[in-house]
Amino acid sequence: MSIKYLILLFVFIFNSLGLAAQENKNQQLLQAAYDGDTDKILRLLLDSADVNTANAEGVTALMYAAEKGHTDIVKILLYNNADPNAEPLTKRTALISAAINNNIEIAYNLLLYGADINAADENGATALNYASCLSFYDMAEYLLMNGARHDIKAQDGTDAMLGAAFYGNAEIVSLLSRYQANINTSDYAGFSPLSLAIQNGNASMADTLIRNKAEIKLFLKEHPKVNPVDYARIMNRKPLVILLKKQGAHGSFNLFIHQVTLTFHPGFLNNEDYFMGAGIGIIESKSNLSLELGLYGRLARKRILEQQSENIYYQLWQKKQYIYLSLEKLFTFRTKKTERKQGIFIRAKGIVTFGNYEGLKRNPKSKITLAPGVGYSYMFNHVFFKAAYEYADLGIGNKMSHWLSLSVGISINTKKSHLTKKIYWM
Amino acid sequence: MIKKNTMLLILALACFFINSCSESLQPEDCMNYDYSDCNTLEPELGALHVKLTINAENPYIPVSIYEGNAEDSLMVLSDTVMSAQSSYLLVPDKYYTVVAKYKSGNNIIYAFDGDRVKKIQEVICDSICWSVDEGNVNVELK
Repeated sequence: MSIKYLILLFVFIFNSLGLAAQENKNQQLLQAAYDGDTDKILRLLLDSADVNTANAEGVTALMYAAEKGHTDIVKILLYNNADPNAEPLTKRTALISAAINNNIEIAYNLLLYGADINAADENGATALNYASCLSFYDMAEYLLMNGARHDIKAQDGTDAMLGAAFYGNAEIVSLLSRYQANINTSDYAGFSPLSLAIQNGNASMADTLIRNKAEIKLFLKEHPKVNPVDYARIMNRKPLVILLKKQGAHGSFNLFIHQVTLTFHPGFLNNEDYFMGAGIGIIESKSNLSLELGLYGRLARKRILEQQSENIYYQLWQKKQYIYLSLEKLFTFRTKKTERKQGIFIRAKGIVTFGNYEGLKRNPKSKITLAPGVGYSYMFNHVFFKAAYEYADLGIGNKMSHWLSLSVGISINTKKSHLTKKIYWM
Repeated sequence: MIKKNTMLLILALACFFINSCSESLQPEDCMNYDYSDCNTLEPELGALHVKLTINAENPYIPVSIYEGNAEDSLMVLSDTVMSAQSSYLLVPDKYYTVVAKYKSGNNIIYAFDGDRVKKIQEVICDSICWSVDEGNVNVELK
């Protein structure tokens, strides 16, 4: 009985030591693949290291070698039966890594040993998706020649054509077209290659797409009232508006009101007076027209002198407010960044003044007036700043009619769907 | 998520500052409360302070005080003032208009201003403490 237990204990210890030694070899193999140590790889493989061993994230020696561009090691590992389709937790296979690193020789070897050319990672992106986004023309062509599918969409609906259009790779767009990729494809948010070129202000890409028969009159799926010309206007892409119009496209007459503005006016002032105000408005993005309704008021009452008869004057404390409705047209400067919008605006403001006097029942006469103005506007993301000159005759208590108007505000999107696309997995 | 957290932080700070300003007395404070500052008699009069301009052309200023607006013509007091500051005791919880008459060359200038004199009551434990929010008017010449 005791001998039997002794033998079992001996076997257990022997196995444990053996397992630990094997584990050590496997770890060394992964490290050698990462470091590009070919001699060590050969030694470890001869010493029975597991060629398909993986770390806690599921990354194998082949994946490390492919990612680091160690071609010889890739060849050795594949020859020694490394699995070319093994997937780590991120599902980024060795072939996808080779594509991301633009290593055609490694891709060739992986495909030679049966790697799945259409394998997708956790983002749903394939080797061709990455090659298209990263402008790796030769890699994209090589993958297409070897049967890579160009219609596989990543989780956000971005396929190879959309990726190439988004990142401005005209040659790859043309290449994909030659492989019958859909030039009018769209992602799950409805963005087409042409709309991405417009979003990024890439006129040469738009030109390439149109030459490859991109549809210039298609409405955006998520914004059905917006066609490419409208979209170019909304995104402040004037050269693209011209290009599209030259091709026979026209803007639609639909209004595109997708922003509500909340504006605080910290100063409407001149050397005589000071008003503060706030307003709420809307922006029609295609024409850059905005409409705002608001209220201004004096922060402190103002002492005014009012003639009653030839020699009699009343000195009164006047409180004054005015409501306004303003219509503003913005002429934007060209800018590369879509989140930034700046330009010169002209403004027409309809004003109704009202107020009261301290100690008197009668109130100052209401006045209706039109105040023209011109100013500068700067908008970054959803925050804007405006400074303007305005001519406004506000009546009694204001001899000076020249005003400086300062405004800050935020715009709030009223539509759920986004106007711009970002490829989050790149 | 960041926006939500920021909003919560602002809300928490707002609550903190609002609460830190409240001066509600705890029940045990009533035992030791100093009532010497507490006027338990309801005030029948409150002050209205008037600022005026005294100059060579106007050494004496005729001042009229009206209850309500000047057009109501309910004059409660008429005075001639020789100093730049004058105060009057008036019945509280009313709005008063002060009119000062100035000369300026051949012209007469009537300066108008008005304010309310308010009595304020505060309940402290089982006592009512009264005070007056005095009125201030400025009928100085511009």
